[in-house]
Amino acid sequence: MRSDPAAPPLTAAAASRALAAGRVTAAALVEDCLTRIAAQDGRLDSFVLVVAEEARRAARAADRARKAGRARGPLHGIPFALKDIYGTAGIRTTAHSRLLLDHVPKQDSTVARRLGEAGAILVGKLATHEFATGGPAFDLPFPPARNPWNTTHFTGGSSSGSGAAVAAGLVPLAMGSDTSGSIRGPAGYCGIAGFKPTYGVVSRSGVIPLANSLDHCGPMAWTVEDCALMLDAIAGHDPADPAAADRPYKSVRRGLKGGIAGMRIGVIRHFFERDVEAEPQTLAAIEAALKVLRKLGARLLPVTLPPHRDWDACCRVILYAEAYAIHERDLAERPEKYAAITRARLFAGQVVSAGDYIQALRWRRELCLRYAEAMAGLDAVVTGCTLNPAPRIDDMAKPPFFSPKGRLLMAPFSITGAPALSVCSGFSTDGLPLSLQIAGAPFADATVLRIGHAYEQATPWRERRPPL
Amino acid sequence: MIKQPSLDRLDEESRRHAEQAQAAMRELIALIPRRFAYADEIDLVFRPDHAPNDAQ
Repeated sequence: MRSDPAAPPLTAAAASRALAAGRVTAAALVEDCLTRIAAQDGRLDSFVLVVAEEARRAARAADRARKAGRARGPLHGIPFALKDIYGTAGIRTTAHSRLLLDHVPKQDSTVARRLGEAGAILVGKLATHEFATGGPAFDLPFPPARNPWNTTHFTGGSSSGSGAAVAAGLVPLAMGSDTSGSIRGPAGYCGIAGFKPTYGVVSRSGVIPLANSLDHCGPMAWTVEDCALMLDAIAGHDPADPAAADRPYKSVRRGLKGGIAGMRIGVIRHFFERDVEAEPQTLAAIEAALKVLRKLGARLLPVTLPPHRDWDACCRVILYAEAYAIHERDLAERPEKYAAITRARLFAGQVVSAGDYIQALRWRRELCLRYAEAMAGLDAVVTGCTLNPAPRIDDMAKPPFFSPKGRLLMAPFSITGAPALSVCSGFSTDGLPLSLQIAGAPFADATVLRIGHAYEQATPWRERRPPL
Repeated sequence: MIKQPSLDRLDEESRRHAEQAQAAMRELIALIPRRFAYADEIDLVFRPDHAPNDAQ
């Protein structure tokens, strides 16, 4: 049984049902992905490596296993791709960098291993900003990924290839990572769902780090339901990650469709109205989204937090101090190997003194307490995410490479480690996606996803695909 | 002695970009409150499942 590559791509959930019902095979799903990649990725550059023969072999094995009654679960036979910072045994993992062009891990990252154990099929490795922190750059071994909605525009980053590949329907599922917005930003600009789980819920073992106290691994998919499907396969304590949350993981899919009637949702207006102003179409889309949430029965309440500037500064001081420590030796010995944008950003960490870093950590603790106070009595908060449609990629690749003012509302949920979801909230008049962010208290991942799913189901945004 | 990264080893354009980034970072550092005194409780470890006032 074959899938139809001319038809809109299947979500992972739909593909899973089709596989279980015998309407499609894993081999057909993988072939569909490979056909779409061959047809579209020349324009998108979302993949840095496609493992076609390995994927075909794994698909045939998955079909044999299913026929023998040994299907492993809902992800059995479902294709996926990994941001090229996730270690894959025997498969090159480059972080999109000249420094790691020959790097072939001996072991899978925990995420890659868990997805394999779930029966999912790796199709390839995805473009990323160099070491998850550079930017779109044309001085790297691979070109930057491009936005499928308009290929002259930026995908967002650093999970750039993940955003592009999922939006274009090249794969139904991808992994990204998020240190200060690297899942949510590309999800927002590419019009897909991107989820940053609570810090420590998904293992970072085997993932090339950027900033250890801020790195989160999370799913990116066309729908919130697919994010939940993927999260259930990868989440849970891992002794190999010293920051892994030490509490039992409960499936987020179970309560996903419970609706949001009666939920108390805080709205952090000052973030997107005053602190960092959303452009008018984004603002209108956020207001429309709030109306949808009210119509679904949620009660919206105003929330005030410290100004976004504080969160952003605290986050980036910590981030670049930690990143500098990781890259210190290579910056000393072979700085010319980095892209200009990556090098500049990493050197920013050089001026953070030990005293600055420690004071920033104390500030972080204070900000976390403010967030916890604000969340008391609330099920979740809503605010902006990307505050304008995706900019042109050429503009993003130009200096200056480090701005003192962050334009994305990511930092608060990065430094608190709170679960945060980016969902599509509509489109600009130019056909570029707009986004909304839903976040919760630490470990309220299921609630955040439930709200995102309810919003998605009540809006028409998933019916529209990029005009490729 | 371990070699340290240095702007001196960069070409002129790279050095300029790095200096711009460092200047921007100094603006962010200037925003960090310095009101925490030596007598204050120190809790430097970030764990999302800690209650806010848990001792280390």
